[in-house]
Amino acid sequence: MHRKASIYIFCFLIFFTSYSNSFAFFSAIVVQSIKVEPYNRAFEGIKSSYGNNLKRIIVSTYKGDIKEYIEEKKPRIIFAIGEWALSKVLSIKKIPIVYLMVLNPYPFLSDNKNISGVSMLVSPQKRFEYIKKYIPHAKRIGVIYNPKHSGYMYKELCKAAKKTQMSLVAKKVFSSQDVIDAIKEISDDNIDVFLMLPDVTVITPETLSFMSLFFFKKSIPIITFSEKYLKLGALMAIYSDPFHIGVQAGILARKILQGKVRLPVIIWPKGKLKINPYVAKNLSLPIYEDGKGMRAHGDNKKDKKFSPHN
Amino acid sequence: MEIIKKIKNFPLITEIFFQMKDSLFKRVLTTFITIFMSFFLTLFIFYSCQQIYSIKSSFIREGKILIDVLATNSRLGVLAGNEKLLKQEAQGFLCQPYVIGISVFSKDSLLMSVTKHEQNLPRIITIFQINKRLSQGGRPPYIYETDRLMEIWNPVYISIGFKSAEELVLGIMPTKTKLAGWVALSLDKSEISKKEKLYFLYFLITLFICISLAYFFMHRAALRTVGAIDMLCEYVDNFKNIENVEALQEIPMEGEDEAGRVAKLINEMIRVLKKRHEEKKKLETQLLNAQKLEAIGALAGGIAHDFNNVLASVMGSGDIVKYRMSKREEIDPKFVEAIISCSKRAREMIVELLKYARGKGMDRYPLKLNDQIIMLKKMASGFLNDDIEIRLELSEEDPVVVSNATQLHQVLLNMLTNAQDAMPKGGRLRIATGTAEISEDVARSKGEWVNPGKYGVIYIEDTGTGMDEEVMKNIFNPFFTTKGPEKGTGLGLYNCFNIVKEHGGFIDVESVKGKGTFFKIYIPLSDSKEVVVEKEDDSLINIPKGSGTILVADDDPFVREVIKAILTEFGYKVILAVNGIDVINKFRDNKDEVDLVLMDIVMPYKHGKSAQEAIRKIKPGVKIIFMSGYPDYVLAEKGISTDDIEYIQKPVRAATLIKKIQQVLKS
Repeated sequence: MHRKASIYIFCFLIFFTSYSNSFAFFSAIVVQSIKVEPYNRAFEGIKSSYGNNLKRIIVSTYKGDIKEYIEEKKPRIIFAIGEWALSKVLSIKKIPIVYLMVLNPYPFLSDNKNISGVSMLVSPQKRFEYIKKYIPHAKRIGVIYNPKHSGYMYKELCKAAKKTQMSLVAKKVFSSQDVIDAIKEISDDNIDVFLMLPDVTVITPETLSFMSLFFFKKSIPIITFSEKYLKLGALMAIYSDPFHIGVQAGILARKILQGKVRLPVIIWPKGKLKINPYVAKNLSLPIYEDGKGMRAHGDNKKDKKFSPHN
Repeated sequence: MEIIKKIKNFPLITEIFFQMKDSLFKRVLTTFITIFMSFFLTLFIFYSCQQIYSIKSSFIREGKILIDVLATNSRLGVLAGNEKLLKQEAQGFLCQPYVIGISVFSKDSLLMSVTKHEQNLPRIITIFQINKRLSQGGRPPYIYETDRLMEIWNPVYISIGFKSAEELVLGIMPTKTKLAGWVALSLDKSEISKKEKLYFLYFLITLFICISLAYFFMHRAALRTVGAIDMLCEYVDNFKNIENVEALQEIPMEGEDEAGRVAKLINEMIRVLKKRHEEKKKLETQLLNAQKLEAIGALAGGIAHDFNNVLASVMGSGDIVKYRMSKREEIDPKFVEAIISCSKRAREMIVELLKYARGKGMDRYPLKLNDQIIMLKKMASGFLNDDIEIRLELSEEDPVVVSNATQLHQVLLNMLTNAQDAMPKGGRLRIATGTAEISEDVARSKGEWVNPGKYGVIYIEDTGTGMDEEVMKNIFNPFFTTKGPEKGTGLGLYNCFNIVKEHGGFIDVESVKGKGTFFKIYIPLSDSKEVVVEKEDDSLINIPKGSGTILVADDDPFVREVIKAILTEFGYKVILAVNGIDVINKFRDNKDEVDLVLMDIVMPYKHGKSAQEAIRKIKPGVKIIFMSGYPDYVLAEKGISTDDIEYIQKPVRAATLIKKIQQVLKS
């Protein structure tokens, strides 16, 4: 009898613990711009760190008014995955918003004190550190940017360059047509590496292929911000994994709800590094010879070996 | 046969079709070639159409690939409006020999760049028409062409760019594109015609090799197909000269196929022909003999007439001599001379008659035609009717031919006999001699045995009944006669024709019914004008007298007495014997005395040869001379050869006899 009672008590405790765990934190709504793999991974990251008490809305497929819906449900916190999603929840002032996978959140942050988030890019300083570590001879970093789109990034890079004692060689462009000349000009300025910025003016499929071939011809390695561009001829990708960004966003949300941080706050994601050994070999960089570039570096040591066919 | 030889030497196709006569081989080969050419031409037309289409489509396909690559590579240049970059991209394409120019237009129809080989790059179509076509929904690339030029237009699409920087970071590549401009590739179509020419060159070489090989194999196949028939034809061609049955050969072909069966039949036919030919020859020989007898019969009258004349002279002269001797009057030598001359004439007549009957004397030697005609006239005057007037017209050239007097007389006597038969009521017979030059064409028309050159001609013209065309065509055929079965054998002129043919000559005949017939007998002239004439030395004056005893045996008492008289006159002692046994006995009795035995071969009781054996047993080494009035062939029939003995043919002149005896005694 005692034994039976003990089993019932144990089962109840288990159920209560898990239930209470579900309701121990405040419920959240995740607004996701579109249903693409990186955003889904970010969502998975949120779930892994924040918990399962989440409601996800896909903006591209949602028929109703997202703002009305959120206000009706009154979640404790809102996650906005992607710039489009952030723009949809921007007018909600009373609920804290954690954005992620937004490249340039600054235009949204000016009037909204309830918005915090995790940056999409690895911090400039971290990027320079990686460059310094794996390409020690790299002193002059070439950058092409459109001030309208990536001026803020350039400023951050300038600050970081000072700290890491590297010089930044920059060219401004205002349309894609200027990119070709800018690439040619910047290559004449004796840059050691070219740092690719996520600027839609600078990066188009056409300029990308030209850039790869041109810099390869000049033996200038390209450092990019996404592992996808390794296949297109970049030497090194310094990036953050969407899953990890999601995890960091979930942790940030919990801290916000616990009142452990003051709003607004923006945190840098953890960085990862991946090198295309074939490009390294063709550029005759020692990075390939000592084998360090053969594996991805960063937080997740289990990442697979890079292959151009991946 | 020339056709088959030509065939085996691989004649040209044109030679077969245009020069060769119709033949089974030609038909089979023509069929093969027609089938082959039909098949080959169909294949060629089909393959050529496909090749020409393929060359052009390959050219277009290459152009499309080039324009596609060019459009892709020009994206950056068009995007950046960078002419240098565009030219740089285009330069690589101009190394293609058929690319003569590359033009790049912006979306706004502005010419951004032209790279070209030629100064004035012709343009088939404008950019505005291209844009219009695109707006109408035409699917690029667009191809326009003239006789010389081909233009391929392809749009330059560039991506619309990343929608957002986030997509850029996430590596979500933009899939949509937008029109940024046009590239136009100008191609020289002469490259197509070059390839077509090259194709046709290769094709012609292949065609030549194929046709040569095909002709070789078809030729072999055709030969194999008709080879047996060719062989048959080759042998059957011998039948052209079917008269020469002995030369016909059996076809060495066995087998049960069609050709084999035909060969068997032909071989059987040849065997039958040969058998019949043998029979015919036998029959001809028999008929020839009959014809000779007929001729001899005809001659007999004439000879009898001459012989009577000769005998009349001999008897008359003898009577005068006898009369004068009985009166002890001086004898006129002309009578003795007449006896001798007439005897000689009689001997010649006998010799000729025997030769004719025996068919001997076939050796040919130069003969003067004029002499022979004169002799013929003498012979003919004996049997020709008196109401036939003979006129001789002998050529002053005095032609000499290589012939045999007997054969020549046989021909001429036949002609004269025919002439006499054609003139039952009498008429004129002209016999003339002359010469003629026979050209090659004439010689060929007269017969394959006739050679061109100079001929001696004997003309025999009568004023008889003549012949019609039908008779003239057949007069030289064996057994053809117009005289009726009892009178003629139909072999007279046939023999004449063959004798003249053996001489290498020929006979022409012209005749008008009711007016007469004109024969021209052509015999090749002798190279030499000299005629061999045997002169008999009949003078006894210079013959020295001899001595010794001679045993003379002959069953004819007149002969015995004449010989005794001659020998005694020349100093010899003569013992006479009357037959074979008598001579043996007389010799035994006088064996030491007799120096020479002169005996007839054919004698009563024992002929000369047996007597000789007996005499030789009595006295080996005794000298013996035989004599006989029989011709050689009669002696041969009796088993007596005159080859290994001393022999005198009777009648013999006294001088000849004495000389022979003296010669044998000295030896």
